[in-house]
Amino acid sequence: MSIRTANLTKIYFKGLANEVVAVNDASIRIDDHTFFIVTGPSGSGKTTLLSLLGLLTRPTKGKIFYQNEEVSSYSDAWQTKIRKQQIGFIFQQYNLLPRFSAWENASLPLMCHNTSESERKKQATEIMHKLGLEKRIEFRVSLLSGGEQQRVAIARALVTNPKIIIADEPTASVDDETAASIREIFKTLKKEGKTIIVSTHDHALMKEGTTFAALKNGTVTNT
Amino acid sequence: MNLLLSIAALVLTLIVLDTALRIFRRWKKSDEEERYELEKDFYLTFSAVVIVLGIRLFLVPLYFWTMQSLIPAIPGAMCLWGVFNALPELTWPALLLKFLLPAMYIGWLLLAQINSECKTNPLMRNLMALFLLLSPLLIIDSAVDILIFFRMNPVEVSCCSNAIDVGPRPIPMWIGTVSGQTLLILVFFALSTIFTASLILALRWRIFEQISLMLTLPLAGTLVIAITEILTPWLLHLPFHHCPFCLLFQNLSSLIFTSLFWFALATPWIILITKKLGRKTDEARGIELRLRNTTLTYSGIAMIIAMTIILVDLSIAMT
Repeated sequence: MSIRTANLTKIYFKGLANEVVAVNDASIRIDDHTFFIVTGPSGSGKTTLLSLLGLLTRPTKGKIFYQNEEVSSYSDAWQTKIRKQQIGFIFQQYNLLPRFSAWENASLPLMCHNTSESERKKQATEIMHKLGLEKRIEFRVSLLSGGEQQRVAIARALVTNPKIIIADEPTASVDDETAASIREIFKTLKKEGKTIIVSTHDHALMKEGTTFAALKNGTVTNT
Repeated sequence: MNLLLSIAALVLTLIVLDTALRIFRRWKKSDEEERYELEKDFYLTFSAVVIVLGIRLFLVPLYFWTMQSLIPAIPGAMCLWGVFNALPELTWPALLLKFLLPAMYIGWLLLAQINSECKTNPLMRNLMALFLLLSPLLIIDSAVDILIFFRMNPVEVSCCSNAIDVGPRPIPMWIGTVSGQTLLILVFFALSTIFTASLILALRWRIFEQISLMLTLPLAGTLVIAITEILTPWLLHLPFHHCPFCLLFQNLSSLIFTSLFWFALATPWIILITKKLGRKTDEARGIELRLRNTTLTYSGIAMIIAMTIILVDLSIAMT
């Protein structure tokens, strides 16, 4: 799945005194099976760019193309369909539901696919085994460590077998050992031929990248 | 229930009017971000409108059922004719609205379906425009229902036999003769057959779409005359009785064929709405054509079933 943007701009509080140009005129190209790394200092617009690429936010200006089809003007319902079928998200703060068990969190996207509970549990368990979480399947996520929570979040992103994985600083909130295991997961995903878009400060993870974009004050300075 | 639902429909219509107007005015000028905000508003408006239209469509049979239940309360009333004449200035216009407006409601719902199947909401503005156009009618439709139940009094009315059967009806006398009735039934079946054929042929040739549209009014008129002059006396075995309401509430098959006729006669008008407002993009056009063909097919089938029922009923009544 290739992604392309044309003059992508996102302005928060447009026209107000506290207007913020989070992404400015970004034209990037992410080919199929690419490991795309977005770097830049805090507040440079990395998360906004990822949200735009993942169709979580609407651009103020510019266009986003998936396989040369302009998807930025699609209705919310259709963008949701694309997100549901094609994209897996990994957030910096995990965004898990603390009262649910690990497998219930990991299987949440399958609920949008009308998958039965037994099938959801089966698929979630399978993916959690791959991520080394087999002993934590029934645990409530609030009882898990930060690294385990991040892996549950990764399991949730992968459970629908999406073509695109978008990860916002996946190793930022975890210790070195967990970060290493998460890098291994991304290496595997890269081998599987997924299109991976990651924003990160982690130099070890950057080494896995095949294409890069550096952001500064919302502007792509280097690709 | 009728009253409560009418009030609910009226209130919901008034609530969403402002948002509908805002979406209609801003949609064309909006950028992607504003469009997204309008779209979010649209989903809520859309749900409210679907509920309103659903209520109004549900209220059509409920209206007749409720009026029917009032027969014992109106002195002199033997069927709906009597109840309607207890408050004629409201009940007859309400009856007309019950026949005409559902076609527009269904048209809006089909447009909404086309829009939701498209990727870029191409019909958003048209949907809001049609809703704004419909809203006075929706308000009148609901308000008339509410007024009827507040103003209906048990006044003495004449029954349908006294009003319809005695005294001249607005029908030429010759229709009452054997040759007149034969001619009427032949014209009715001929028109029905041509209309059915034009619905089916419209699937392939567009010209028949226009022909079916033109045939709707003459066929509707002929149907009413056929019901009062032939079907009612024959199917009720009452040679001098012509009240269509007596037929509809005493003969189940007549209720079925009348409903099927209504659907078939409404189809060309529904298609006209979706054609004029639903072909903004190639994608919408494709979906509109698919829905149009489905509707035409179903209405063709409805006509065939309705005519078969009438033929069977008449042949049973005549033997």
